[in-house]
Amino acid sequence: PHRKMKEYICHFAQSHPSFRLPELLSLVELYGGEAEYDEEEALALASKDDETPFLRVRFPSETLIKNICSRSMTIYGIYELWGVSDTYEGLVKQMICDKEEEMRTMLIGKKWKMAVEAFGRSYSRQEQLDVMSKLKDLPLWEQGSVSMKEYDYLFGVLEDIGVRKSATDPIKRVYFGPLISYGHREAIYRYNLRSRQFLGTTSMDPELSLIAANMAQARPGSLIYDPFVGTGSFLVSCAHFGAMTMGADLDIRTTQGTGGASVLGNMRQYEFMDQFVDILLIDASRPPWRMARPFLDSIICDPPYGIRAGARKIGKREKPKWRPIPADLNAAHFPQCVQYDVPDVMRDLLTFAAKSLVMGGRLVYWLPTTPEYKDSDLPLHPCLRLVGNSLQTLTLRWGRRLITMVKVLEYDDKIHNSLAPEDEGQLTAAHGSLRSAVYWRPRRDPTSSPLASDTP
Amino acid sequence: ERQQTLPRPLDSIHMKLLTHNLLMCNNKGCNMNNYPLHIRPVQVERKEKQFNEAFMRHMLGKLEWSAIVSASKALNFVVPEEIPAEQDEPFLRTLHQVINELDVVSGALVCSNCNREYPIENGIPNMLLSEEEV
Repeated sequence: PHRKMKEYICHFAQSHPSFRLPELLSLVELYGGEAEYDEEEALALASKDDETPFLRVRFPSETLIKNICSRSMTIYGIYELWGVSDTYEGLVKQMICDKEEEMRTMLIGKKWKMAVEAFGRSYSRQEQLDVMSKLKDLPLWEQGSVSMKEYDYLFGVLEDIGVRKSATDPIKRVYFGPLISYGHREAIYRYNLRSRQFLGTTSMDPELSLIAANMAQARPGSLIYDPFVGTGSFLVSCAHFGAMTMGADLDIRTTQGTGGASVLGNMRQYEFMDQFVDILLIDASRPPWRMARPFLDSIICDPPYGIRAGARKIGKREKPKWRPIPADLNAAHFPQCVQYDVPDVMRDLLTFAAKSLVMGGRLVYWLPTTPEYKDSDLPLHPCLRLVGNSLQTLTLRWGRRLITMVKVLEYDDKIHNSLAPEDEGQLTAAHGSLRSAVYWRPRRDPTSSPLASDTP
Repeated sequence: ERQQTLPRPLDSIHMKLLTHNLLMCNNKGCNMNNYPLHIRPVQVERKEKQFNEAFMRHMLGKLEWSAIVSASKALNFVVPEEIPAEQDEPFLRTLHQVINELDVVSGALVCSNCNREYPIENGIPNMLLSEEEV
């Protein structure tokens, strides 16, 4: 019989709303737990109009919550939900009704404090005291002793007042309960780009890099590979969670850097040398990995899009004359490159993932998108199931989606060697012609402009 | 033909036998006997690394043991010819030494089938084919 799980309130950080729920669910799965929540509330949570940073979730245990919080980048904190209401009067009434016993017994001989957090604005100490005075009728105040510095319990008063409201506007909702755990956002500051030894043109936001590592479920004992390693941001974020990491790239210069700084420099700076396996020179369109036995727990990457970083693979360009390379010069030869179209990059990546991931292993990658994106643009594979699709908006037209797929079916050469177009996805994908999407400008036709009549 | 000029090498990049166990020859038309690649070591170092028993157990199931045996021999290191029935800590420590701590700084990986050589320079295996080989 299904045991009724306790309800908690999750307070998420303001940045990256569409990444919140996927990260949470990935960590729930990582720790073998479960979570229940309302679908409509989850939609509001993901809304890029910043509707709310709160979500009520039922969890089976506090241990699961603490595990999740030990890794989460999107969560500020998770509290047991004692009361929720649209008004303070309602909140007090509800808690006196439901939680009287807890309030009278839990705090005997204990130290505690209350902290007011408001979504959309910050409160001064005096403003917090004003809020707390609205809760003066709670039996809570008669128990234990209030202590600001060392405390056994911290009670959160979480106000959801919406965005851009003033202090005088009424609250939308208020939640109350004891803190179970804060999240792990302090990790973001550890990897602040300013302190990095090596920055390349494709260096990544540490917050998103760590979220991606959570989507990949990087953990001690896992082996993770980045086939477009570049500056090694993903190696650092996956090593942060204890994974063993490998990377590859087409061009030695992007991994070695200049002046001695390198991917290795980063791994050394953050003391992850014991988790660094190797980097290799590899053309991702021709992976040299043996596939008889799956060997990767996760693949995590930011593939080249052909706009910023340049997408290339080895190939012969159309040329009237060429000379064969002498065998002894093979090693020093810098191979000729041809364009590596984004749909091909994606197709090769998914095929590689289907073959090399262990069952349950994860592929996490950035897919460039424009407002013309539709779900049928997504690359697909019968062996992989989509579990995450979070949009990061970069400009009005240009964004990217962090895609997460899980291997659910073993690769079978007899079946999966050639796939039908509908099995592969990317049907007339908008990302098939990204250059034109980014650089296209409407032709100037005076009669079609909405402001034509204003033009003298 | 442009030469690749590598920056001055750092001291800590080295190809591990863990990686070697996963690599095969990708040359055009080379479809049989292309794994494992034969190691021709030029410079090898022993570098102590932190032993992670959980990772070793997890990794063991992914390795081709016969390739571990032949690669170890190429580096003058002895391992059991077969995985023992009981994989206790001493065995896993031996495995750790072999796949994590034997570092090939320079040399080459050679395909037994087509003889294509993949150089290892500054510890980085160059698995790139030339444009005629794809």
